[in-house]
Amino acid sequence: MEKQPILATRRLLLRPYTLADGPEVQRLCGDYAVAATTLLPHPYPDGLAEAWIASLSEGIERGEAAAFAVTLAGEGTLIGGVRLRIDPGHARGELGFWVAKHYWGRGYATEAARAVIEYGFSVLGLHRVHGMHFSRNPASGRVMEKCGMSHEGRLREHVRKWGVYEDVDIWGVLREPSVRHGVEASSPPVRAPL
Amino acid sequence: MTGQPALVTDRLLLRPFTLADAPEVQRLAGDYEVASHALDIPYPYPDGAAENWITTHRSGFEKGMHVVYAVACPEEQGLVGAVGLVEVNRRHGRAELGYWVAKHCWGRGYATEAARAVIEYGFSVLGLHRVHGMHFSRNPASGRVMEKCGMSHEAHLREHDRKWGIFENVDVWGILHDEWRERRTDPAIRECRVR
Repeated sequence: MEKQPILATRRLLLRPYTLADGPEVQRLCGDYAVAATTLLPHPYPDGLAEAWIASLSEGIERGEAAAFAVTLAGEGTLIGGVRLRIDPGHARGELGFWVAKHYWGRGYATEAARAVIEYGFSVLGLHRVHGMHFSRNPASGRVMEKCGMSHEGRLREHVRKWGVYEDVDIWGVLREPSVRHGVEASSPPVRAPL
Repeated sequence: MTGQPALVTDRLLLRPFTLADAPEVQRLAGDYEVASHALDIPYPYPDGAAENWITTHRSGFEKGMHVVYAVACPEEQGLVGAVGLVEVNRRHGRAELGYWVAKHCWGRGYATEAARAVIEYGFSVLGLHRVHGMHFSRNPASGRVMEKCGMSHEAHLREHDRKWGIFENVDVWGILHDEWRERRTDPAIRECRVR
């Protein structure tokens, strides 16, 4: 966890989670409306938040995860979380985020997700970031769109949430497409085993 | 625990791999073109890798993680290829379809016939809700196999996978249990042999 920097945006401070965030994560993610848009359980079990936060450092050290607590710059109130689940072999990260219900509709998710996507590309060296959301939750898709992601498809009934099979939309963004196209134009990719 | 049954289709026999298949797997999957179309097949195919792969099949089947078949054909010498359901996910009731076919057997519909059989196995025996498949977009023949299996094109993931240092576009196809049941005219599996 110590390997992760603090990311400052206009209104937010994204910092590593600490175990002290556990009770607040449980309270905010325990909100039915938040849980319904994620794969989180409801009710949110005691101890889960602490166990999850404790598990983060291992993934971060292995380069398989990045996770930030999203706080309001100034007062430091925890309002959400953004994480990347990283597949180093394919240089790609899966974006996930949640925002406490009280703070919905103010662009905080977009602001935080943008910062983490940029971190993924510029610091972690990712080539692609993609994100998935339940199709019944288009607000999450709008966040991804505002982050510059393109809609790439819809996986039908791909996820079972609380006993119901849910359609899932998938969005993706690539690092610096203009630069890459220039490279491809001059030298076509050679497909050879490494 | 019942063992993995053999599945008989019109022209093919789908049976569990044995270690005796390893040299043939290494030779056929080690073909440059076959390897280049698959996410996980290395090139050159290292000695011992086929044995290691085959060794995972039985325990993975018993744990409900995957079902992998050797595809054999009485009309062809040796192995035709491999087909399977991998990443079986009970929580979400889904699995991923995967296959490869030896190059000298391409273009005869073997992949479609074998894939239809394991899709049928997934829905009728494993009780899955969904089967999906992924292929490199530069290999549209694989997409045609999925289409002929009744799958619908669901997504085009840009530069999603890195294969041999190159970022590849990937297409995703899927079929749901209800769709499979409605379109199924005659069964793909003619006989199911439990040893």
